[in-house]
Amino acid sequence: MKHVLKNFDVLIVGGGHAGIEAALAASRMGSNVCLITMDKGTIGRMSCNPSIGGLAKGQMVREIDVLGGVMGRAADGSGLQFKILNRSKGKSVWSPRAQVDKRVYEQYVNAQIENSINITIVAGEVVSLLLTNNSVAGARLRSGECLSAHSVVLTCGTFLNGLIHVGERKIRAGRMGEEGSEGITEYLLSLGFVSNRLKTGTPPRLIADSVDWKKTNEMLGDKSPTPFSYRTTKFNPPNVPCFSVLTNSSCHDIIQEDLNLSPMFSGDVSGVGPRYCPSIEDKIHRFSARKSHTLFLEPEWENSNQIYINGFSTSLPESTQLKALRCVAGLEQVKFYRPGYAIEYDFFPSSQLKSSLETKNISGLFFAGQINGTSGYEEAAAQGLVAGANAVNHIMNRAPLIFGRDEAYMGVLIDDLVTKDTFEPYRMFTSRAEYRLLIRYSNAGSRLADKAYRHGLISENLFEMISKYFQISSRTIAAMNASLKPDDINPTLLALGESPIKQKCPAKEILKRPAVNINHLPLSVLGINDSTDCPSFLLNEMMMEAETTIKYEGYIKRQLKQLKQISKQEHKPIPIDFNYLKISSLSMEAREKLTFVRPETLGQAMRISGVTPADASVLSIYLSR
Amino acid sequence: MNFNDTIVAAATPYGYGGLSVVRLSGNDAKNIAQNICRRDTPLKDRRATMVTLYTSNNEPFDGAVVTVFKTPNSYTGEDVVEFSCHGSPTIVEQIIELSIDLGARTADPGEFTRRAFINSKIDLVQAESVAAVIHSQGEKSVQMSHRVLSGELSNKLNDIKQTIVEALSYVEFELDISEDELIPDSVVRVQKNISYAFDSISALTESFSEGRLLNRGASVVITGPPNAGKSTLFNALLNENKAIINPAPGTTRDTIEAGVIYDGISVVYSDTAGIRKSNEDIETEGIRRAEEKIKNADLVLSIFDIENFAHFNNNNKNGAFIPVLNKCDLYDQQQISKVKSGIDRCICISAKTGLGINEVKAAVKNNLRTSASVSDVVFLITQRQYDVASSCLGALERSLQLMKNGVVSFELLSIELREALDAVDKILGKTTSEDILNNIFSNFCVGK
Repeated sequence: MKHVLKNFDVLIVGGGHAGIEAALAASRMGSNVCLITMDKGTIGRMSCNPSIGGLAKGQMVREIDVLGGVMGRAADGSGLQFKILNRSKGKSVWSPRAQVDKRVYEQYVNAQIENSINITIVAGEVVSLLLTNNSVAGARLRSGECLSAHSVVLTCGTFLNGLIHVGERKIRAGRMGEEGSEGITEYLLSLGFVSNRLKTGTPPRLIADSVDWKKTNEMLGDKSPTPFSYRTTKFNPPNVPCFSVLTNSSCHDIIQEDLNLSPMFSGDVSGVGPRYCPSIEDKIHRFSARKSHTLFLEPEWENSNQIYINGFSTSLPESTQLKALRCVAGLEQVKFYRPGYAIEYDFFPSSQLKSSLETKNISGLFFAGQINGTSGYEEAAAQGLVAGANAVNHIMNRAPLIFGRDEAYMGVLIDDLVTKDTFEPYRMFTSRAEYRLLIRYSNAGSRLADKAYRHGLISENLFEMISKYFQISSRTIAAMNASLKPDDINPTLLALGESPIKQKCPAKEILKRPAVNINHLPLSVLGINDSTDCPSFLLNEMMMEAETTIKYEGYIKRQLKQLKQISKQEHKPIPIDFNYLKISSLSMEAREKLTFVRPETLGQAMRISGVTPADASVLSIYLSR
Repeated sequence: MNFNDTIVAAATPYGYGGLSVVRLSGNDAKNIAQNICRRDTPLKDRRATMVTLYTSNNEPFDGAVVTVFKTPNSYTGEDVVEFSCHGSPTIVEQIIELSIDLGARTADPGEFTRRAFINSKIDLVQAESVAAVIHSQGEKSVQMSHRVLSGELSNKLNDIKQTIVEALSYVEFELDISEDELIPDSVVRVQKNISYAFDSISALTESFSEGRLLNRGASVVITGPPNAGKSTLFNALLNENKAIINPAPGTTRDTIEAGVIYDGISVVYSDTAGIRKSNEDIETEGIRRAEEKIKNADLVLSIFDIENFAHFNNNNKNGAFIPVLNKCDLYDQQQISKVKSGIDRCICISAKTGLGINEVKAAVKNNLRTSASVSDVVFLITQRQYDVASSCLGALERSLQLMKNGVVSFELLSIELREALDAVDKILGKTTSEDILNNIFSNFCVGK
């Protein structure tokens, strides 16, 4: 065994979406980074759906972008179609999504890593850590090689004791065709960590030539697409269509009949699967009243002969998958590149982490991504970025990068992770964000650029550029205080079926009418001119920002007031060694939960499942003594 | 405040009587009791045991019955011990002092109930009704407070809460799914739930004035010009000569009060100074007090006679009042009819002869709406509950408003519904801030 000791600042274990953002963030902050991956050829791979963003996830991609991350730009550079979802439901829940070319995406990300001079890629499998007094000092590879570092970020994805299920067939693996990683779970358990099992699945990949496309429904993206990144200037993506088909009762019957062959139902899988992105057998079993489900056929890359069938995640035997799909109109002759499968893997309940994503047990050790029980590229990337940044903050002895629930979806994500029990893979939703009116995708820049810059995650240039964009919106808001004369606006109001104004009226008040939007107003009369040095998509977005801020003024004020009311309790710190067991007026469950989780603030304590409001008030009394 | 220690207090009022009760609650309650009884065998849980009490010098000072309530089956949810001793303040003090020597401390006002709340034995609405039960006057008031204590109001509120939660989950679901998967009737369901919650909360807020009336008793104020016969009516209504009666105007200076029970409801009559311009300090103060009383009255009896009929006006602009024409024994039917036709609902009496007094009593009862049977309505009983319920009602009203627009703004609806939900939780004490809790529990007497 050779013992070559190489020195780095930060080790990133894993090259998925979490690992990449972690490595790039640490690198941007000036650290000497080593990215350890079992296979150099799979860095940045999109192992499931060929899309980025979506409801609540699109907001996070924007946030990652403002923090200097790569995900948004990679999607912009590889997008096949772009669409803002939920346009019919109010601006605070609009979410951008892109179908992307998986191959181009992967190349884009790899180029970013290669262009970062302070990132070294090492092929290998980490089996244990080097520790000095409960502090991380490096990692040991299966080869026996040791790498020294001051902090380590584990982003092992589904590779920890991964077990693939296709019907009754079981394969030990990390992903289909890739080896899993064994030993690290057991090593972490020996350090006092607690682990558990989760399950996730992926649908089959179809051969495009075998689909009868005439029988499918074409679905296009937005005509004027919106990119994710503030840095994307040249943006002219194709609008490659996706297609949809509908399942039917004969398809459902076949699945129902073979339900016992699905390891999820036969009891072979011990991990718990997601409720949100359920397998097709789950959907048919649980929503038996529904006669039909929509399936989406998405190209995995441009002109790809490989088609991702969204909505048909499954662990049924390959023959059943095929038989069921062949009942669907358009798929009568369908053939697979590979069948759908479920994978079971180890994760570490994330209440073992601080809000910085550093483990409470081992100083300098960070976890990000599916190892924390989350699902989704965006969730992984968001955690990776925060963990990478905080791995550096840890070394520099600086305050960690933490976002409030009112500041970013990323803040909601991490706060939920460190306080809530994980029974199924965690996916971000707009409903998880109680301050969603304050954290829109369109104001990500004004929310986060300052923090990103102060933590060294973005350059001064980028910070100033983003600030300049948002000045357009604040100038517009200010200009709306000016009054409009009846002649300026009444023809428009009448055309909209609105009552005309009788005397001068502030533009702001007119804009607050539900039927009126900002483009109805005579902007030149109000002195609002087009800014020339701003990309048109951003100009539109800044106008929309101004409109949203004005229309929602009352509600935004109320949310801010609420925040102020709870902030005293929310931020009251709790000592990490606080002895909950001796407080007999806390319920037994609360005592046990609080002892396990060791929350950092009273706000976190209150959100832990099993801690009742009465418990919280007892705790608050003790803390104020 | 600390909830780990053991507290002690007298549960019965200070004074002499057949029995007094001293109550201990906390981890050491049983040990302390064991020590005061000097018994060889441990006191049994859920049993009343006849014991002798000893001073620290081992001298017996009383015989008492000790009852042990084992956690969590006790009032506070902790170990509770109750001493039923002879009703002497000295004995009570001795038990308390011994308990303190043995490690207990004196309970803060309301601390027993507060512990019951903290230990989830009762919710905040129930805790408030404990104080209400203790202070209630009249059997209807007792009944009403008991029904709140037994959880009827809490159940109603929890039912409303469920409705709002359900509406909110539809709203959130709408935001979490993409446009292609809309559930078509969610708007209808949400609307139905909000309307139900709105109607229910609305009925509760309307019940408050009645609940408050039952709870603290009705204040009925007799007012009118000097020498109209207010004090005579006051005495007649009470059947006793409480107020001094004199033909000289301005005899009554201070407000005099006395209570009666009508159909299980406590009614407090107040006799006030006649209202007129006065240069005398004492009378002026009396008039100021009278005006204050009228402002807070549930009902005003506005008394006048034919001589000063011209000056008659309604003193109680904000609330209910009954015009009462006095001294009817002095006038003929024609004069009386003339006055009556000019004033709506006017009752003719002679306070001196007793003519029409029963009619006044009936009108008072009628006016206090005592007809509503307590057994089929739940009431809000405190101002706090009413205030929070009103803010809930506001949020629900705005929610309904939002649903009126063609395109429903689910994101805003969600904010309103969360506010409504938060308010219901506040009434139940699920999210009540520390200050409000302190305020509520400080209204208790020590020992509860």
